[in-house]
Amino acid sequence: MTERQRPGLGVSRRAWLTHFLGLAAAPSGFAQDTPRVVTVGFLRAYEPYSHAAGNGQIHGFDVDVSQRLCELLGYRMQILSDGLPGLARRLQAGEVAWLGNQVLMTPDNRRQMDFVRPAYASIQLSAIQHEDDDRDFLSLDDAFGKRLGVLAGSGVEEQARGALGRSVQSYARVVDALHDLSQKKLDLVLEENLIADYYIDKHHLPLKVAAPFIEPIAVGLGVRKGDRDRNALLSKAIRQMLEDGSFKRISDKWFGYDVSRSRISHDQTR
Amino acid sequence: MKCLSHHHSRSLLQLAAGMLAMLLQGCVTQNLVPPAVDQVRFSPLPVQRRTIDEPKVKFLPREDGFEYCARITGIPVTPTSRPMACAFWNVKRKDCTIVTPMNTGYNYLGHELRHCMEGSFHD
Repeated sequence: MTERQRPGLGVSRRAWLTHFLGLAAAPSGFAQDTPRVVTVGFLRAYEPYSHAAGNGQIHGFDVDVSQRLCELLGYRMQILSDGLPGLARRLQAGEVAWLGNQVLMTPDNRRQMDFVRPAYASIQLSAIQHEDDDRDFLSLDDAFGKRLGVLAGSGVEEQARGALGRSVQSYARVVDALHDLSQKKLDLVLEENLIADYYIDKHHLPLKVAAPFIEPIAVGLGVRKGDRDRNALLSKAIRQMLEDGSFKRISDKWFGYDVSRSRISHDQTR
Repeated sequence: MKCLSHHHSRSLLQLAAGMLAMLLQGCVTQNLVPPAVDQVRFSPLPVQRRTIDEPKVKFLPREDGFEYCARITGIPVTPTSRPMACAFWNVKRKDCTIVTPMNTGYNYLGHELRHCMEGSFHD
């Protein structure tokens, strides 16, 4: 398992989703679930959302969330983990009831599938800095001449290199960039806030999630286009999970706080 | 203390009133009326329900304040409107940063300060 595979095929969340939808044509013949058993599809190398544990079983934040949704809906969840091509094929074949990883809500994606609202996590590309560093990095302009770490092969790397050139250092695994940042070999790292929060806690790194760089990524669980019943059921279950405290327990387990709540004012993506 | 004639005192009062008016005009923003949300009273959340009960606050006026707030909130900058301020916070570190353009208003700063403590209270 490498983090290059995290977004699916070694690219950013956006690029992964674009690729995913390119492979997955509009689903047809969506199979009915066996009563009270649903198969939920997860990427197997998408830490901390869904990834293989020591025993080889898939676990993660998104897995726990879908497990809770199944409990609320009276389902028994069957996990189907795969790489991107396999997941796309199985989704088309109706072997997956929904995608357990939240999907980017682009106009193109909206034409391909429906999204369950609300999203249960606020995800935002942010500046990650050493906890001792009080400088303000709010834009790539602020990072000019500084040592910036990014995930290799991502859209972020492309944009950063375009603006900053050689001072951008790319990493195959973002956790390695975070370790370098903790040793002050970098000035900042650009990464999604939740992934950074997860690794900061997991590896006890002296880092902090600082300024957001872009608006929160609009995401949601993806369901078959036109499947209003499932969409409504999941939406209701998500709201219940957010209200009854069960989501917060899951969120605390993986991130140490309630990630359903935005970390900015005036969030237009909620 | 030297007393002024009635005529002189009235002239000085008029002058002072004029100067006060000029000063006040210098304090208001070009958008003369604050947003409706900033014209009402509110009841603060009890401490135990706050997003951050006692945040460490940084006030960060920036030349690109409008653009930055537009970029992180999704509120567009148009010929007729633009985000006047924004805030972001870190619950685990209990810190909050308020970003404004270089020229701002009391209401915007106060509004964002409430966000620092109560999170997205009006979203």
